[in-house]
Amino acid sequence: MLQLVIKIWKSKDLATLALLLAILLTAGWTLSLPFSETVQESTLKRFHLASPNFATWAIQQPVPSMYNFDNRYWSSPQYLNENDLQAAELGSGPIELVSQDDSKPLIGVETDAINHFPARTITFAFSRINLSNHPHRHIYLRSRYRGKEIKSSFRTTPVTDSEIRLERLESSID
Amino acid sequence: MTSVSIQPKVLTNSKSRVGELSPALSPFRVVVGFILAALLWKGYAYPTIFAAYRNCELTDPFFPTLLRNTYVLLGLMLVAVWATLAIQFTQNRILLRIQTSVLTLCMIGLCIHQGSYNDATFVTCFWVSLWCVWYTFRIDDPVDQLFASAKTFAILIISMIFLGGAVGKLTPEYWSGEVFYQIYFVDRDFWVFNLLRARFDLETLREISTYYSRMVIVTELAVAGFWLLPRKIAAILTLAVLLGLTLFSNTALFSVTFCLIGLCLFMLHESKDP
Repeated sequence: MLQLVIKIWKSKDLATLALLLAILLTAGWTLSLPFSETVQESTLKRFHLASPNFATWAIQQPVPSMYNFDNRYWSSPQYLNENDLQAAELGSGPIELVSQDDSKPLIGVETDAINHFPARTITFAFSRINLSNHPHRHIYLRSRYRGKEIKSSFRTTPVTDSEIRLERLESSID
Repeated sequence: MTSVSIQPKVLTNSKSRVGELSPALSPFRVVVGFILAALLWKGYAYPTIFAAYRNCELTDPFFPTLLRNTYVLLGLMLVAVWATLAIQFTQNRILLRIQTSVLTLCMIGLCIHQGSYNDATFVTCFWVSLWCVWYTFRIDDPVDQLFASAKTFAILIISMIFLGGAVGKLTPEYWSGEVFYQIYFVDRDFWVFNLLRARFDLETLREISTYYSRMVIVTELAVAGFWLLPRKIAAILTLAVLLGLTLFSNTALFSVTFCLIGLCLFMLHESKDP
């Protein structure tokens, strides 16, 4: 490593300097995650596709984040409140629940833990197959890291037989 | 009596051509070959994936229109595969630079496309592709010097990737084992977890998941520090970790680990400069 820095210094080798800087910046960003609320919020928002804009999200994508955070999703044909989400979490897989508020059955609610990028339960291929069969869905995401928590909710509605619109309803960090 | 000297084949036979005997090309091509293997590992799933995207377009203004398009995704994959194949047969250094740059641009595209952003395959392949771009720009350096720098960058990239995995798990939910319990131990259909479920009750499984989770965190943190080790030892230990991680938790992960395995093999390569 020291030899590499000396080599860059002596030869003014810009290609080597650029690669070293890219690695060091990424490692620095990663190392600050446990300590910086700004980095935590930015990365949690990245996981929920909730960054302020696409560019802010895209520039973080090369940062390695395999199996990061405690992530969970819920997918339901109807609106779920906080109590319903909790009740579903206590079960597992596709379940039939009873809403704690009005005792209506909650049919077809799915919830599971997920390793990273929980928004992929909406965007990724195998979820799309489910969505094309059940296009009216309410989807809720939660990610936690060292006491920080982001919750997001989405709704999907059919536009045509082969197109579904995704609406972001809410995204909040505590 | 006249003496005849036999000239060895030139290493560089024109300004832009890397000689066929250049010892710098073969180990580099092995790394690129592993990127190709990473891209093709889950190839069996691609027809289903592309069909799903074609049959169910997801309109989400967060992603630019081009980065929601299924054919753009298909194009990025095909061009990336073409680049890795073309590199195997290219001698011209300018073409090599173009091909590695195209490969890296495809990886960037795949990292930010609506249909592929969640797949860690493209993050590891992006970093290894970037290493390839740098390598082709320094391919005229003396081989020993090139290999030394390339091996340093290889282990720095591997360490940084493992750092990313470890730091995101430094949270009570992972330390307790709860996350891995939910993801792997409850219902993951893989021989290790099937075996554990068949042999142990739920309470013991929870206990095992705690040890498993802590072992993963500690291992990832250790690999994040491997750049401090001698290159050969670092390469052997990283290979063991990558193979262990993949064979004992999820063989689909080969798409993520193959290109890093390629870097490890490069680090084990000895220079035989004539």
